[in-house]
Amino acid sequence: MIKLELKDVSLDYADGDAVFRALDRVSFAVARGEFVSLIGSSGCGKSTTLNILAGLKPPSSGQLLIDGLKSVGTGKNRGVVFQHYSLFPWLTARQNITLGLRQLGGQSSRELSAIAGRYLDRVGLTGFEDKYPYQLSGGMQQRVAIARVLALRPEILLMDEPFGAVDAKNKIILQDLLLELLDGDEDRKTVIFVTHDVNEAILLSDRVLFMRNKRIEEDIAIDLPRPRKREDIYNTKAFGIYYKKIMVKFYQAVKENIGDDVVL
Amino acid sequence: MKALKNAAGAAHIKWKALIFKALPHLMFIALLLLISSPSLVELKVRGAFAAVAVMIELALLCNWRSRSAHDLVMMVFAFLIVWEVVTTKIPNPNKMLFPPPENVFAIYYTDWKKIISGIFSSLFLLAYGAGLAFVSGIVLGLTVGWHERLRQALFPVAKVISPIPPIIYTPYAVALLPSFKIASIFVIFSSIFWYLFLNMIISVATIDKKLLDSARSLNISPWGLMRHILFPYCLPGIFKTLPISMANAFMVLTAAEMIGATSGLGWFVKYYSDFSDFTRVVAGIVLIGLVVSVIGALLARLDKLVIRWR
Ligand SMILES: Nc1ncnc2c1ncn2[C@@H]1O[C@H](COP(=O)(O)OP(=O)(O)OP(=O)(O)O)[C@@H](O)[C@H]1O
Ligand SMILES: [Mg+2]
Repeated sequence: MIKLELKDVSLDYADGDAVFRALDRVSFAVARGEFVSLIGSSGCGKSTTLNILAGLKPPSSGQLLIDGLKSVGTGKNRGVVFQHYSLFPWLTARQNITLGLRQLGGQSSRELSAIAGRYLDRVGLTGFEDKYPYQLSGGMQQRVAIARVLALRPEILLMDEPFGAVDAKNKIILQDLLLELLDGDEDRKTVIFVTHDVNEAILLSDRVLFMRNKRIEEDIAIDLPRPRKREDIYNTKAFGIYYKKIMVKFYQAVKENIGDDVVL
Repeated sequence: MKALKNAAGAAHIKWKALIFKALPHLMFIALLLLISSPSLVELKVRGAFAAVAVMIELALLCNWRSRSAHDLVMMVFAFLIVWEVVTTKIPNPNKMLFPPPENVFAIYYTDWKKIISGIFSSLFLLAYGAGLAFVSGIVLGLTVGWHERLRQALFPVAKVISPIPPIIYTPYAVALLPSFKIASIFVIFSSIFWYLFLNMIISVATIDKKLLDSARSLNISPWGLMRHILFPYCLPGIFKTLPISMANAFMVLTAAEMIGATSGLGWFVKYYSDFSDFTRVVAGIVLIGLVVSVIGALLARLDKLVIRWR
């Protein structure tokens, strides 16, 4: 069953008199409960794709379908973790989470506060509940943002490099937490996950979409059994094969040296 | 030998610091001696001035750790000593224009009823006008700043009106409006409102796009957006303009009182200027300075209390 689908979606920005195409006729469908990673070099259009899925940017052409229906604007069925931490500086870690929860309605503020505390605990931030963002490190702020979206329990999780600014140790903890939360849920969430980390993409995903030059270039299915455990996955032969396959795509991109914003 | 010399040097520095620390207290004693010594001009009451000096000294003793309090008190005492000496210890060129501090501070004792009612009538008008200006400035600023079309229509209007100094139309407002109260509330209101309104529009319109996306992704309601995102985002800016706004408001209020009032601090100064009673004029000016400073200090404290996220 298809949960969400992009149909021939493009996004153009006005650039003076010219137009700049930030996304070029992208189409893909994601099944319910599927975990799909977007991978690709900087500027290839990953964040743009995610913003369109979130309903934060209307596509210039094409359609976003959710549960088969055309979707416009943001919705409670989707939760977003942004590439740049986007906590509200005037709210404490806990308040940042309850503000989102309150929009769902139906619970007393004490209950909301307790839920927020529980999710902060899960991302390893016990004792930091009442700290303001400026009192937290970048990685800690990102963990609050993750706790915020997890607490909302949306049907669809949209995550833009959520572990990009997190140190290696906490990255492992958070990846395992995400696996555990998703695998443990009988009503599996649908996740679109942007990352630069090839290991991470394979470990977490059912499919990896390789993007290049504002388009999707290859759709790589990751056929590894679930529930997944890092130790089991890393040692399989399949893992090495997938890793090589994706790295070859990057290597080709370097060799052909076309398209994406070139980093010197 | 060398060690001894070093010790002597250290002791020397220590002495210097100690004298510096004691300086305001020595000045306090000097001031009391000056007050009690004979004066060239006739003094009515000396007690009020002495009491003020004692109060300043006590305030310093309560804040004896604070370097800035130490320096400030030193400056105040220096000023009072010069004032005292110039007006009472050397031949005073014009007793009417240069009233001795004893007589000035005695006014607070003899005229206290008039002064208290003056402070209250001024502060009442100030609270009224400023309250109206803040509530409407914030609500309208948020709304207009947020709605593109309203902003484009009203921003130029605010930009033209806000730089007109309200003191310019204060006399006209007093003449035009039916009562002095309404006129002064109006000028206080306009001295704060336009500047605040303009600032709110600009800061709402330039809010960080990432924060807005973050708020939108939480499906926040339009009211929630105003209350939980835009308002707190603008709050530090509001506090930043607050001291200037309040000083401006006080300026137009006192100006209005000088024209049309029958009570209030501005009226007090103006009324006695007309009689050339400069002792009371100086007392009124000092008092206005004090009231403005106290309001400023309270606002600064409120700022620290409210803006805890730096
Ligand atoms: N607001 C904007 N106006 C104009 N061009 C934009 C805007 N936002 C993004 N772009 C352009 O769109 C393209 C895709 O950007 P996008 O943010 O999706 O890249 P990305 O794949 O997320 O890169 P990264 O890995 O660095 O985050 C880039 O070439 C970028 O310069
Ligand atoms: Mg990006």
